[in-house]
Amino acid sequence: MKHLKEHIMGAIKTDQVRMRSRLFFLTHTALWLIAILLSFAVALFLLSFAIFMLRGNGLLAAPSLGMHGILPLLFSLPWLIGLAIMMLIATIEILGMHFAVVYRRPVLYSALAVLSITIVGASLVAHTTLHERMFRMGREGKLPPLGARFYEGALHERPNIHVGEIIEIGERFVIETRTGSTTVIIMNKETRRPPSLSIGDTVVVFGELVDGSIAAFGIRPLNKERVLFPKRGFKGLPSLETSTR
Amino acid sequence: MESESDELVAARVQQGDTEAFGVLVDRYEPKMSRYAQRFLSHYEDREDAVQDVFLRAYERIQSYRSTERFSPWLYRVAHNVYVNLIRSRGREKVRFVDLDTFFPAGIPDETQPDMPDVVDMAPFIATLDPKYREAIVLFYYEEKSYEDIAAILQIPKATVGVRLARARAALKKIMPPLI
Repeated sequence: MKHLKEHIMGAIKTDQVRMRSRLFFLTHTALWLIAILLSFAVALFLLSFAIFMLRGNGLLAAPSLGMHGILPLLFSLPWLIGLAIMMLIATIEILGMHFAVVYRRPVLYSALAVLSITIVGASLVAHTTLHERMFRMGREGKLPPLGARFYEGALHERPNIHVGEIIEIGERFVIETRTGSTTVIIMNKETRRPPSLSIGDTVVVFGELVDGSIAAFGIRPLNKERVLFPKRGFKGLPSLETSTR
Repeated sequence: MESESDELVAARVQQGDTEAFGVLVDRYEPKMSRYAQRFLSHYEDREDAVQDVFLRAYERIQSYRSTERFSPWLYRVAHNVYVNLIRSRGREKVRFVDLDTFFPAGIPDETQPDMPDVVDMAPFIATLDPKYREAIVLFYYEEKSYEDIAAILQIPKATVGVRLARARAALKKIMPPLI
């Protein structure tokens, strides 16, 4: 026993091992917390961006069409962003395991808590015009190229999902799409559409585009102010075309 | 100083009294050696590991909060050193996060069924997976409570119960006539 103690005390007295300062450990804990907060902030940003993107492209209306709507929605979900969010939540969980409040409970509980807070927080962020403003900044060249490209991706056209503004209704049903082209919508008895639609309404049309016409199986009205329609502008923000002139 | 609590002696070390650390070494060397002997029974360099426990404890003593008990803190340091040794040798797997900490388990009953004499168990414990072996060592040999084991291993208290139950079941298979 003496032998071991002598070794230990000898190493301490000859400075082979040094006591780390309290500041070292405080800094360590602070860095750990910063890493958790950063991961959380990025997860919040990505999820709110995903909501902005889905809403801006009319995809949040898809589930109201049943299975017909769910399939295009599944194909259009930003899976890479979803994967990144899951990885960030796992990172938060692993970093959090250094703290008793996390490791004393099953991982499932803390992961669900982090996920719930992220969803609520992201919904609140998505309610603001943050992403709309960032999108505009990207278009106006006020974001770094990578950021601009990231936001440009939000406008990516999805197959069988068409956003537009009704410009003709009656014998023909015509919309003007975001690209400025006009498209005739072909409906039949099975097309699910709201009873009252009028010129100027913004809608999302689900259906295949064939020879410049869309064979619609569903039409849903959209909140004009939250749809990604660069030509027209977004909530509280003027048209991009007029602002960049 | 000999009659002072561990917590007071540790506080002295934090204030720069190097000699006070010797008192902690005297008090805990038998316990740390016993813990290593059971947990690392088939590792030749376990004596070095015990020395590392104290050197690492001294290095990190400022991270110890004197409002908490010193013993679980030192056992936590030992757990890290011993697990690092197992990982570095690569003969056994010790995961960073285990599935048994993922899902909620029932509130554990701390009154464990009778086990054979710890001396009888000793040769069989070495064959257990490290996470089960360590639970057995801390509960039956070190006589730690579930609360302390949970703090040492940084896992939920219910998981301690799960690991002990699985460890006993594994031991039953290995040494049926004794249990």
